[in-house]
Amino acid sequence: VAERPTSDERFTAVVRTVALPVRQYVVRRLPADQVDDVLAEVFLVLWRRLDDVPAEDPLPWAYGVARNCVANARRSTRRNLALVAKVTRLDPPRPDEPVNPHDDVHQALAQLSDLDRELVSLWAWEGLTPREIAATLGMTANAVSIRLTRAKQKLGEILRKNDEAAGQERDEGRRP
Amino acid sequence: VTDDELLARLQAADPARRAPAPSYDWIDDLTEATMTRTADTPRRRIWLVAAAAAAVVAALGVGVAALDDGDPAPRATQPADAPVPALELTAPPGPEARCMIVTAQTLSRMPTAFEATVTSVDGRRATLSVDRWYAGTAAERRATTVRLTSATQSMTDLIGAVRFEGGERYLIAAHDGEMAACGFSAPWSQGLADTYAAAYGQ
Repeated sequence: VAERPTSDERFTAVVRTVALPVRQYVVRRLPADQVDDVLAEVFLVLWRRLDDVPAEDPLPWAYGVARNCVANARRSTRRNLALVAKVTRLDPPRPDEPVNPHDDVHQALAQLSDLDRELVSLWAWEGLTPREIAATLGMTANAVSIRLTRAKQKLGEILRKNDEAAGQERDEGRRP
Repeated sequence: VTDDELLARLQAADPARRAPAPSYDWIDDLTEATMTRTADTPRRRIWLVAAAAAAVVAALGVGVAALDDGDPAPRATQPADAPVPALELTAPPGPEARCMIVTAQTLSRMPTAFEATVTSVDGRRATLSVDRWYAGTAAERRATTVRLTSATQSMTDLIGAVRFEGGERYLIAAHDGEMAACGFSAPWSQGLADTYAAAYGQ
């Protein structure tokens, strides 16, 4: 018997469909040096669970796998936090590092709960519909719609407050 | 803030926008590597070590957790000849200052629990063959081998933890890829086995 030709072909077809968007998904959520390892893990899970990959639209399912792999990577990062803290103390960031002009948005996102942040990110960055988000997160489309609406409101509110605070700081800075 | 404004602001802040466009070569390379690796080697450990990079051995717990933790998809029926990875656990670094009393109730909070026999002890690593699963994710329960790694000490010097010896039977509980010491994990005894059975309803 040939070496599982159908599995090989199917796997190749699946990863060709999902690889780039899944890579973007991981890039958005982890430091650059972790991306390749996590992608390798996503591929491995897709391969091992090939029978479970939906034939129709594998992408939301693959995002779900990527989400778990990202969570695991973060967990192991946290486990090593003590080590990281040590290294950081020895090598503090230089003050002249460029400031990301979108820090305000990322700071606002960080103030959301994990689920709210993921909902908003899947909507804005991955460009998914509530139905696709539901398939990614294992929720119902209805629950996603409701929760996403609230999460967007929360984020808008946080951004508005932060914008106001920033504006006030600038005004105060101008005073003699 | 309208939906459109929020969307525009988020999209402008999309971290993937700044990332260089990836070539397509890596997809074929990784596809090939994934299929070859899992077909040829029955163990995923080599790959896991690469993933854990130079960091502490503690990161090894990742492998198994990756497969099932909060998995949104329906349960796996994995490809028939896909190898089952060993469960990787780490041993705690040293004696805990305080230990909880081991009861069925405190034990039942440990999501991973099994009975296993040590097949080999080698420096910081002990390999065990699982005799019985009390608790674990579906992926963990598929594992028949557990590799336990100590981040700090030789496996036989773990004070306050468990002394592992070849051929001996143990009851082991774990949480987040780390073995629970403090009396939760210990050489097999009827008393502890009863507590395990009570904790996990067996």
